[in-house]
Amino acid sequence: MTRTLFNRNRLVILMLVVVLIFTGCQAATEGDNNGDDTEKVLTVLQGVDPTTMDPNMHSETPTANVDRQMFDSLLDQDDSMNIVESLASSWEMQDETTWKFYLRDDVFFHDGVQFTANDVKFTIERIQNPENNSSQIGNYSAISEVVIEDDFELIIKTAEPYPLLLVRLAALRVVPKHYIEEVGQETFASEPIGTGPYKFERWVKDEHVTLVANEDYWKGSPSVKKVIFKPVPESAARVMALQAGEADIIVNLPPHQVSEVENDASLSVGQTNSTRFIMLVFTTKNQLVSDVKVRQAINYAIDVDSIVNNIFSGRATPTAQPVANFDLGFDSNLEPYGFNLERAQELLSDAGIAEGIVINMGSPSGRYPMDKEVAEAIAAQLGSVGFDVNLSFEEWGSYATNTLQGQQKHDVWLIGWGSSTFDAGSTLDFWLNTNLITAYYQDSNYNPVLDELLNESKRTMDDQARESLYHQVIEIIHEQAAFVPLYQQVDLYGLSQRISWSPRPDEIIRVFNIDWNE
Amino acid sequence: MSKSLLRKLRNALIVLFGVSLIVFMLMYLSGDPIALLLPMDTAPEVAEAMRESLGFNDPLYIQYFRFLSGAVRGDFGNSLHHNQPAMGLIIERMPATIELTLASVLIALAIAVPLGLVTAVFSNTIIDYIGSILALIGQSMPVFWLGLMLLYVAGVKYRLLPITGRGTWQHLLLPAFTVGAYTAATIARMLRSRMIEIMQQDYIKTARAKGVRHKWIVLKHALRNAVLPVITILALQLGTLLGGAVITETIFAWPGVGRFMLQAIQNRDIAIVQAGVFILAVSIVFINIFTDVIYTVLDPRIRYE
Repeated sequence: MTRTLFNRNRLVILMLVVVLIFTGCQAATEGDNNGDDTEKVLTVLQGVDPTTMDPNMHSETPTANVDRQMFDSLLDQDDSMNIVESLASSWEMQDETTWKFYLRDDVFFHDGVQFTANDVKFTIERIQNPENNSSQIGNYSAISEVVIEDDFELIIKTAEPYPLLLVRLAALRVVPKHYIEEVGQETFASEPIGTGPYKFERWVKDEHVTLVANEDYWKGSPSVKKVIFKPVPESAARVMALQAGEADIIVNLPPHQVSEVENDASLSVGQTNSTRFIMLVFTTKNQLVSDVKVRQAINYAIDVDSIVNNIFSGRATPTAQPVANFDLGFDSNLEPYGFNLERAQELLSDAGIAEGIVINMGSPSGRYPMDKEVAEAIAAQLGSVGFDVNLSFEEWGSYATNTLQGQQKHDVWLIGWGSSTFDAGSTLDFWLNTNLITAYYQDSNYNPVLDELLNESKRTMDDQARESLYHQVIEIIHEQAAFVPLYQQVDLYGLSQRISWSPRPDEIIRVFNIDWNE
Repeated sequence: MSKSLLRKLRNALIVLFGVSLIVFMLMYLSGDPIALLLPMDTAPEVAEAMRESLGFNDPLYIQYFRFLSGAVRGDFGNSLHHNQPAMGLIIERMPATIELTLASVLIALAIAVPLGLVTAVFSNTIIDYIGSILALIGQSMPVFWLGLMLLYVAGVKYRLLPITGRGTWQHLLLPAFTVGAYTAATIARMLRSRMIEIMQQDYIKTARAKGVRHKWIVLKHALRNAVLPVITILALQLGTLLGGAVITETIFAWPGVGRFMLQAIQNRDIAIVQAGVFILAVSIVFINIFTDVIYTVLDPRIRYE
């Protein structure tokens, strides 16, 4: 009797479990792109899921990659990062703090309501409102007033001359005032409508976001009719999904898997110079690296070419400055120090640095492609000129916090950087301006000059004049070896042969620009 | 029974409080949530203003009690990165984790019980050696290696199963097997040694002397007694897995809690981490209570004590 009871219970539990599992399996089978031939679906694999569908409330590339398909920005940047028209078809600077914008009158939101100047004003003020806690608030804090002239003309005023205004507006994704006022912020963040080439269809968190073509898009109907973004955190799994035909674009292809993808006839590799560069920062208030000779010696001691060739198979560009080649202010004539072991040793002995002196080095691990390998290679190279390198790897969260709070204590440490404005100003200011806690380069002779140049550049509206100020700054920090600029990254993508597309330096995938090959 | 249940619940509350305090401190001491939210080149005064408006500048104990007073009302606050209630974000991802957990436990049992029995019954024969080696391999294989190998063989080489995502049993098979392999090996080894031990006991000899068939001795007399430690392992494993099989979820892009929590930890998204830890602690407490109940059902001796 007990035995049968026991068996029956076990059977019931087992059945329950089975039922549970299979009910759980019913949902979401439409994510796959195989099978249905009439409707080709483009699948993009990124490392993480978007955090929101609200384009004004985040500062993350993977999330922007999704929202950029659904929203248009007021201005735009072309593939070479030049400012071009978008929702605003033309603009003029009326004086140094007043800009007038003329908007297109043929743009409609996905619900059919026409886009007007009201939406632009609403968008800017929404980001500026501290209650909304938008991470983009700093990008628009220079704007003092938005005045609507009529439905398709508006004036934007800044408190002071603000050279970066147009770049900021090229990132301003305009959201529908009427819709957000009707449904509220929270609903908007999960069921958005915009003016962009794709309409929101479905978001299953951490599984996929599905978008469908907006056939009435003002630039024309997109050739890809349906696109799915899926998060696949493990890069090896992304590559396998590409090989198995489950994806058309995968981001962050690891450099060591490039040849594997290239050798597959149905796949190809897409690459472009990234806006991000990797460098070593000196904490010059530490005794050891306060001497310019030591910093120069370290610059000479590091063989960047060998790192680029051996770790990245040549897929990175050695650089001489903490500025990317797309940024205004990049000095194309500046040459890196170059690898010169003898010169390094000479400078070290001049500086009175004895063999075996301990240097503390820090690096994140897993934050940038091959960062750990690069840091280890550098440590070995510094060891070969006589340093006893104490290399420590730190978890990114605390590493980033220390960096931003001016708390990095290592003598020399690795970091990746990119300007979100395509202008050298914010980067140089961050690392050099002594008004900020992040001015890791401290030198009483040069700081006043650098501060003056940087402050002047912020008021200088003329691009050429600003560029020449930046060049002066870069020249000083190059001579003083304030950093060890290493290389500019190359963004690598794995692509299926079904599509033709070339990547952009800002890491944004514009699905509208993708065509099917077949 | 009810008294011991109450005592367990009280202990659980103390555990929950302690866990939340430790997690809170660790998260705060190791990184600045605002620094990780804003773009790196944001002007410091902007970051400072946001820190102020979100209350991150208040003394730590005030922040903790603000959190605690919300938490007792079921409000764990909003996620900084998602701008949504943290508890909702965790609960949304629970079905995927529960699905993976149950499937992996089923797979583990389906492998482990026959393997454990066979290796015990045929102990010290070639069958036992092969089975034991299999179990040892299962136990010592790193999860990420097994996961990637399965993906490569079943997904890329033979194109039998999909590589990423969730939805059908085909999607579930590989991650569930990856998670289940280790549990299966542990259970099989445990079952084997318990069975061998029990088969030497006097009551088994008595049963033999009575002329009970060998099959029934193994399945009814011995297995039922050997199964108790298995339940313990299963319960422990269930608790761990409900917190999310982080590595497996990452490799197979499985949309569960573990991977989501890992991201939240990296972003110092404290509301999500706290909500997740809360759910995990509650489920472990309930699993433990449930296990105790199962014990009394399976082993009358425990009931009589």
